[in-house]
Amino acid sequence: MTSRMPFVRVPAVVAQLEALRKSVEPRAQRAVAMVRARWLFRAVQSVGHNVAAYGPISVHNAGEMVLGDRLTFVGGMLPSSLVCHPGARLSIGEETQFNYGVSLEAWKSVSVGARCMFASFIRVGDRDGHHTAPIVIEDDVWVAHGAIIMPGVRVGARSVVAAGSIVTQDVPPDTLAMGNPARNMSLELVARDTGS
Amino acid sequence: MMPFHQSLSRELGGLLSRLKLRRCQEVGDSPTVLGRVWIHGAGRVHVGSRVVLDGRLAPIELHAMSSDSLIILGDDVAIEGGASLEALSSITVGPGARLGAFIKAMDNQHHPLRGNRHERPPSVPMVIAEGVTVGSRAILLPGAQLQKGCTVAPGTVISRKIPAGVTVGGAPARVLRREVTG
Amino acid sequence: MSIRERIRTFIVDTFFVDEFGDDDSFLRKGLIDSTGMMELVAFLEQDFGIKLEDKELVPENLDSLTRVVAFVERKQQRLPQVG
Repeated sequence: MTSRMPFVRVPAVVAQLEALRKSVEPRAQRAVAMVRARWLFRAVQSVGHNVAAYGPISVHNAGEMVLGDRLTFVGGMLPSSLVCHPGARLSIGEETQFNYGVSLEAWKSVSVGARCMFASFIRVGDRDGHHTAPIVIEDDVWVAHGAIIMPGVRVGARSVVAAGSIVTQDVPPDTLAMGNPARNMSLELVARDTGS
Repeated sequence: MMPFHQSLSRELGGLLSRLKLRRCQEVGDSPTVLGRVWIHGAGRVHVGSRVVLDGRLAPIELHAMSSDSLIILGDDVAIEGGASLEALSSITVGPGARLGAFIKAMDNQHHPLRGNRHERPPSVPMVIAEGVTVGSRAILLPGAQLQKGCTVAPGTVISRKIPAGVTVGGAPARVLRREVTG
Repeated sequence: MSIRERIRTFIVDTFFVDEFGDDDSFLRKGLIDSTGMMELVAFLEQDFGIKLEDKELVPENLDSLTRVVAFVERKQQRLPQVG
């Protein structure tokens, strides 16, 4: 069916509007996410630039929380939560990304490096029933879906924590930690280098 | 003979279920959708007859990510709340399969283990066959193929073929029980 | 059954790969992925009564059937045989 208006080709207009929507929508969403992050992290002492929260996050800060530049928090079925108890320190390096349902809780110290990736439903807490010990996650670490990182653990740079793992011991750099309790194996054993 | 108000509420429930599944390309007979179901992404989602999607606990997520992604739920499939199916190529759930709460099924790892994390590894189409039971919080990674009637214990991580009738569990996964044949 | 046959049987039964040579790299041939490697390690520990240290989980020890067999034999020699 053609348009009755002689000079307006309706499909072309629709396509243009669609293209406009596709280009504007992500930027609008990002703007909203950055405003939301400003609001959510209003009680945080130090928040970097361009922090974006695409969904709800529950933030409780009674200690010292330091968030780096360009963090991304993705929204989803469960909100992420960042909890920092009195006298504790929770720090997150720049460009780290969080999927939904990530729970970070610091009673003493939790430190996350730069450019890390956190998938959904991850639990990082430095206190269990018995003791409190600081957790350090170094740069470029990838923690996959459903992993749990126990108190006192240090995860080395560029390491990967596999899905569903429970990490109870330190993970050296360039290592894959997998299983319950997690065991460390060399990433060279299971993955080819995909280039720079 | 059913009283009038009961049959009315049943009809309304059916209409509401269809409304919640409006983003699916195909929906079979009498779907039951409770709570929230999120169907998003540019791909296609096909739903068979008599499926039960119980998203009251947490939303069920059916994410067909790209325009040629496909998620197929067979007849009589039951999915509990918080289950998340993310297909970049395809995820097929066979008839009568049951997926527990907060399971995650993905046919692509999205990031390579080493090297450039922004490259995307290839997808492996996932098939969950007829009559499979997947326990809650289980994780089905690319390469997982659950054959007819097998059972995955809660919290298990799977990335390989599981033969028919076998029960697997634990981390790392191992065979807990085989179906007695004959 | 020899060590080689037991390990080969486990790999074939578990990962459904039929045609692979003794020296084929598990990784480069795509025979075993990371979760599979963990299952192989658990199998070795359980079936051969050896304990693998985390630092021993490297390609030199585990990336082909020949290497796995040699590694298991080395581990068994170091251990006092029970029974």
